[in-house]
Amino acid sequence: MITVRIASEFSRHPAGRFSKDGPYSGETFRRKFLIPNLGKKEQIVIELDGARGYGSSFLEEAFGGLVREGYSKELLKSTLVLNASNLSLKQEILEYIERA
Amino acid sequence: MGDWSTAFPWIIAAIGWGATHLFSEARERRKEVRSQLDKCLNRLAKLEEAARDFHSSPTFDPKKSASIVSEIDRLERVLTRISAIRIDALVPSIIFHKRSITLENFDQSTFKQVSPSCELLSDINAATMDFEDEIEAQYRLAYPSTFPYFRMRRLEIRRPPD
Repeated sequence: MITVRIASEFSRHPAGRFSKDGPYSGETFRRKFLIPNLGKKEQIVIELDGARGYGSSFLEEAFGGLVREGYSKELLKSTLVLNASNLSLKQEILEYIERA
Repeated sequence: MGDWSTAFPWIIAAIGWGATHLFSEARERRKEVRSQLDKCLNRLAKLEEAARDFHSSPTFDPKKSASIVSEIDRLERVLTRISAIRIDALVPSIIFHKRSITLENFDQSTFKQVSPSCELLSDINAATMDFEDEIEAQYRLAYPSTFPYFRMRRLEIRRPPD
């Protein structure tokens, strides 16, 4: 099992959709943290707490972007374990995976 | 041998005291919850104002966008701490509201100044009103306007949905 703690390993201020929007964008997070770990075929626990909030565009690009890159929704839902004290975050991410 | 009838006034007094205590406690709790919710509604109104200001600005302002995201996050945390609110029932409104502000036109690469009558600002307004309505509905559920003016709720441990 792999654990990704966004606040300590990526940024406490994740923001932006594309890499050109800034260093801590959804696209960058997907490329640096999600895609490399998805290749390891282990469950990935994503700790969302600790950051100063997530914009919807960041979340959509990071997680919905995985589906656009070819990862199946079923694989993502069974591999990604989302931990967040804000109930809406997990639900929102699952919606982006489902709708992408 | 004591006469039972002498105990009646005391029993009536005890029941009266219990009922008064219960209703007074419920009234105080209701006032406290109302005050907490009013603060949340106030924050929600300020958030809408901040979102309008952000999207109507001629240039992208990263400080304003960061502040909006942080405030949306904080608002959910505050609502979670209010006893009368079932946060799981509010989740769809929270997501709809957040998405209306931060999904489109929220990043430097795609940002464009919008006009006051544009669809984006109307959506933000509609999502804010829906969120307010949902909060009020939760309040009315916990504290109805008819006797006994509060609802006995069973104790439950809040767990995040699977």
